[in-house]
Amino acid sequence: MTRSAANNPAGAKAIDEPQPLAVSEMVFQGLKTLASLKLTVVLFALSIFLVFAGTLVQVDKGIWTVVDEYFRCYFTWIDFQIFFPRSMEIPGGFWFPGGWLIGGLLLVNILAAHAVRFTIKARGQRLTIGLVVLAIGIILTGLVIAGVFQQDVAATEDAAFWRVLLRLIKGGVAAGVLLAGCMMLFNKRAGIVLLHAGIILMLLSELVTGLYAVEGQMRIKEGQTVNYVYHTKDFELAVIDPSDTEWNNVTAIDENALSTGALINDERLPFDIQVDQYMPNSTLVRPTQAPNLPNPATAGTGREIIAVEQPEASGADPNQSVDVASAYVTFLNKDTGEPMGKYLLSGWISFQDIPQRITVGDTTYLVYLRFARTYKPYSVHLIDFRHETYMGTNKPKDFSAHVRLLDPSRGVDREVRIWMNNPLRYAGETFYQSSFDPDDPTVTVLQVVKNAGWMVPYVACMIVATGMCAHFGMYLVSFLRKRGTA
Amino acid sequence: MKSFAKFFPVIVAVLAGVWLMSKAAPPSDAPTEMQVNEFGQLPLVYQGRVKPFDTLARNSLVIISDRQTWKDSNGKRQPAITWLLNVIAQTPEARTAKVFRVENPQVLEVMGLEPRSGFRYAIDEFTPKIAELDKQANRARALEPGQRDAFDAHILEFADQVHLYTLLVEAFRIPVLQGQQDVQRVMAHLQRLERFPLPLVIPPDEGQDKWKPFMRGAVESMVMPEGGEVAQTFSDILGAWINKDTGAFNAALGKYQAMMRLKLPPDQMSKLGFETFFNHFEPFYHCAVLYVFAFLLGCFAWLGFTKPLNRAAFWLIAVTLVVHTFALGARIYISGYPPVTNLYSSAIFIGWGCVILGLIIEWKFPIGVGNLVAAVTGFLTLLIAHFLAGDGDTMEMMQAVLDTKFWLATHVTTVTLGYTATYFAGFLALIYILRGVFTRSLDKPTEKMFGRMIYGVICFGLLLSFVGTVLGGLWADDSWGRFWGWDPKENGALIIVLWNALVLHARWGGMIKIRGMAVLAIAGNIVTSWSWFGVNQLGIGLHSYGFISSVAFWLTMFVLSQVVMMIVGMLPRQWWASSGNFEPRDPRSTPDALPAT
Repeated sequence: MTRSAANNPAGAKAIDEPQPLAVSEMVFQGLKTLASLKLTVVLFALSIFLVFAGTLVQVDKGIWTVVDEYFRCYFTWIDFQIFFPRSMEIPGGFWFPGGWLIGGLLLVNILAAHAVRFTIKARGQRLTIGLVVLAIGIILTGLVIAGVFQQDVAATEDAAFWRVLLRLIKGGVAAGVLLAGCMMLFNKRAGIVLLHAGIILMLLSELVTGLYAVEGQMRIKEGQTVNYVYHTKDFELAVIDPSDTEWNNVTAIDENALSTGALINDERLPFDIQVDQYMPNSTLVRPTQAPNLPNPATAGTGREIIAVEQPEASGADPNQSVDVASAYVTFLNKDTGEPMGKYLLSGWISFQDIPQRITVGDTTYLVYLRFARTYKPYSVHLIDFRHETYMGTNKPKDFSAHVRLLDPSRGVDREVRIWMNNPLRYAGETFYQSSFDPDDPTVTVLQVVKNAGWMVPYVACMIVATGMCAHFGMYLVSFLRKRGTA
Repeated sequence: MKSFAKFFPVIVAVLAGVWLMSKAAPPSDAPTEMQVNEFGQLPLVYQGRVKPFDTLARNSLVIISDRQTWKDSNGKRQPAITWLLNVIAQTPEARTAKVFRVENPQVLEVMGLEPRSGFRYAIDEFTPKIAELDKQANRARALEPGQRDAFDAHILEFADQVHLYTLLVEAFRIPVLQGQQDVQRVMAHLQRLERFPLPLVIPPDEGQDKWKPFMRGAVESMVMPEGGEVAQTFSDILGAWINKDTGAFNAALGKYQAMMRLKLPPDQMSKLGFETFFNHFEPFYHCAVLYVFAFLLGCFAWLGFTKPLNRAAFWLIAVTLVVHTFALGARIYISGYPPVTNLYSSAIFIGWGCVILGLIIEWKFPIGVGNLVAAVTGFLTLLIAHFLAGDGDTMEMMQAVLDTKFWLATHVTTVTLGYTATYFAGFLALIYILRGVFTRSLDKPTEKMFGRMIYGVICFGLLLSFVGTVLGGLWADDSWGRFWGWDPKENGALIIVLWNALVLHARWGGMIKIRGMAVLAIAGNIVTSWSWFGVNQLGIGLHSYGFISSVAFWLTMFVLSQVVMMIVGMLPRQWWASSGNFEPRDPRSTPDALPAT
C-alpha cells in the first residue's frame, strides 16, 4: 500500500481530522474495495468464461447475433446446451454478466486502482516537468488517433509493411513520450500505469466501435458506377416509384418492421403491406423439387418458386455465409383494404435484379426485399477488376480493383487502385477489396467501413506493449541479477 | 573419473553431431545405375509451388501409405521416388506394390480385403471394387460433415487416396492417337482432366508464364513435333524406366536436365536440389530422436552423476537446436514464407521456441529443469507435427487473405511465441508438481526458483500473446476494417491473454503463492491447447454424432491429463513426498505476495 493513510485505522484518524474528511475516507475505502485485485481476478475469470461460451455458441448461431447477445449487452442468457454435443438435448440455462457489464466493471476496477494505489511520487520541479511531458504525450496520442498525420485520399501504393509500421511508429512515438512522463511521475510503476492506460483506451475503443461503427459493402461490375453501400446484416423492403425519369423515388421499410403478422401502414406508400411470413434466413426451391410444399404466393415471381425458412448461418461454419431473408406479403388497397395479391419477396430474387411489380393507378411500383442501403454523396466507378489464382490451383492469390472515385461535393475525381490488404481511406471511410463473384469475373465486392476510432487499437497496442516492456524489463533485469542468490 | 565427468558432455555432443552429419549426407546414385535421385530433383508445379519430383513422390506416398518409403516385390525398402516413377510410367510393379493403407474393418470389407499385418494393399487387389468405393464415397460426400460417422470418414479418406493415385497415373498417361480425327477426342479428355489439380511438368516457353501438365505437352508434341521436345524427352525417360534400360534412362535424363537449366533460373534449380536434400535429411525426425535421448539423460541425472549428465543433456539439446533451427530456416528458404503458416509449422515453431527458452532457463538455473522441459516439449511438438503432416505438402501456398508475409512474420510469429511461453510455464509447473509430489528432491530454495521461473515465463507469455493477438486484430483492421470480430480463433487467443493476466494478478494480490501459480499454469496448457487446436474442431466437433476426430480425441485426453495433474498439485502438502523439506506452515504468517512493482 503506498498511501500511508490506508494503513491507519479510520477511528484513530478521526481524532485529529475534521469531520468532512471522514466522508472522503469513506469514499477512499469504497474505492479500495472497487480497486481490489480480487475483483480484477474475478472479472478476468468471468470474461474468460463469457468469451469461451461466446465461442461455443457460434456452432449454432451467427457471429453477429453472438456479438449482440453475448458481448454487446449487460446480461446474457447462456444455455447449458452449448457445452454439450448437439445430439444430446440439455434444457435450461443461466443468466450471466454480458460483455458491457464485465468490461465496464473492469474499467471501474482499473480506474479505482489507479486512484487508490498508484499515487504520483514526484514533487516540485520533477512533478511539473512530468506533467508537461505527460500532457504532450496525451495531445500527441489524440492527434495520432484523430488522423491529423494522414492524407485525405489515402490510397496506398506501397506494401502493407510500411503502412502498418508507420502507424505503429506513430503510436510508438506517442507511447514513448507518455512513458517518459509516467517515469517522472510514477517512478518504478510507470510501466503499469502506462499499460493500464492502454487497456482503458482499448476497452473504450471497443465500446465506441460497438456503438458507432458501420459496415457496408459495394458490389460493382466493370463499367458500373455505384453511389450506395448495402449492409448484409439487415434487409429492407424497398418500394421504387420509377415515374420520374431522372430520379428514382425510393421508400425503404426497415427490417425491424418486417415481422410475421405485421401490418405496414406508411403514408409514403400507395398501399399497405401485410407481412404474412417473414424468414430471416431462407432458401428457394422450385415446386418441382418439392411437390408436397404448399405455395402461399398468388402473384409475382413467387408463383414459380417457393421460399423455405433456414436456420441462421453459424459463426463457426468455415463457409460462413450471410443470412438471406425472404417474406410472403399481401399488398392491400390503401383505401378499401382489399388484398391485391400475395407476393414472395426474397433477397435471392432481388440479387437477380428482378422486381415485383405492383400497379396502383397509372404507376407501376417496383418492390424489392434487399440488403439495406445507405446512399453516399460520392460514387465509385469500377474501371477494371483483376483476380489471380496460384498456378494450377483455384486458390486465390490476389484481387485488385481499379476504380474512379467521384465526389462533386468535395471536388474529388481521381483514379485509385484497391487490392488485397491495401484499402483506400477516404472521407472517414475505408474501402477494402473484400470479395468477388465466382460466377462473374468482372464484379468486385468492396467492404466499406465507417469507424472514427480505427486508429485507436494501433496506438493502444503500442502503449500497452511499451508499458509491458518497461515493467517486465525491470523484472527481467532483477531476475537475471538474482540468479546468483537463487 | 573427474576428467571423464568433464569430457562426458563433450563426447555426447560430438557423437550427436557426427550422427547428424552422417544422416545429412546427400543421397547419390552409383554411376552405373539409374540416376533416380537426379530424377527426383526435376521441377514440377503442384499445389501452386515449383517443387522437385521428390517432394511430390514423398507427399503422395505419405497420403496413400503414411510412409515415405515402400517395399518392392523382393521386400526391399525403396525411396518414394522409385514408387512415383513406377506409377507415372505405369510399370506392372506399380499395380502390385502394397502401399495403400486401409485399416478400418468396414472399409476392408467393402473393398473385399482381408486384414493383414501392416494393413497395406496393392491396387490390383481391390481394382474390381473401385466402383463400389465410388458409390460409397459419393453417398458419404453428400452428407453434411457433421452427419458422417467413422466409416464415412474412412471411406472418404480412402477414396481420396485412390483418387490421388488415379490422378497421378492419368496426368502422365501418354495419349495414343489413332488418326488425325482422334485428336478431338483426346483434347476433350484432356480438358476434362485439367479441371483437376494436376502436377504440371512442362515449363512455360519463352514469353509465356503457364506450366502445362505432361499430357498436354505430349499431345502437342504429336501435333507439332518441333515444339514438344520437353515432353518427348520426358516420355523417353519413362520409357527407359519401363525397359530398365540404364543407359537410355541416364542419357534422356541428362538431356532433360540440360533443357531445364535453360528454362529455369539458376537459383530455382539450386532450390530444387536443396529441397530434395532437405527431404532426404528428414531433420525433424532426427531432432525428435535426439530430444528423446536428452530427456533420458535428464532423467538419469536425478539418479546420480547429476552435473555431468545435466551438462551432457544441455549440450545435446544445443546441438539438436542447431539442426532444428537449420530446418526451420530451410523451410523458410524453400517456401518463401515466414516460419508459421499452418498448424504443422506452428508445432515446429512452438517446439523451437520452447527449446530455446529451456536452454536459457537451464543456463540461468542449472538444475536440469530447463533441459527436461526443452526435451519434452521439443519431442512432443515434433511428434504433433508428424501427425499433422499426413495431408501432404506442409509448405502449402496461402489463401489470398492470408498472403501477407508481413502479418505472418509479425502477428502469427508473435502469437505462436505467446503459445510457446504459456506452454513452457505449464510444463515447468508440471515438473514442479511431479518433483514435489513424487520425489523428495523439492526443497524451499528449489521451490522459490520454480516460482521465479514460472512467474517470469508467464510475464513473457502475457507480453507476447497480448502483442500477437492485437497484431492479429490490426491485420483484420487492415484487411477488412474490423479490428475485433469475436470469431473463434480470435477469442481463443484472447482467452490466453486473459488467462495469463489472471494468473499474474492473482499472484500480485497474494491470492496464490508458488503452488497455486503452478496449478494455474497447468490450466494454461489447457487454455492454450483450446486455442491452438480446439477452436478448429468447433465447426465439426460439436456437430458430429458419435464420431469424434482423432485430433479432438487427443485434445480431450491431454486436457484430462492436465486436470489430473492440477488435482495432484492441489493435494495437501503433507501428502507430498517432499513434505519433509518444508516446515509446517504457520497459518498466521503473512502471504509472500510479490510487490506489484
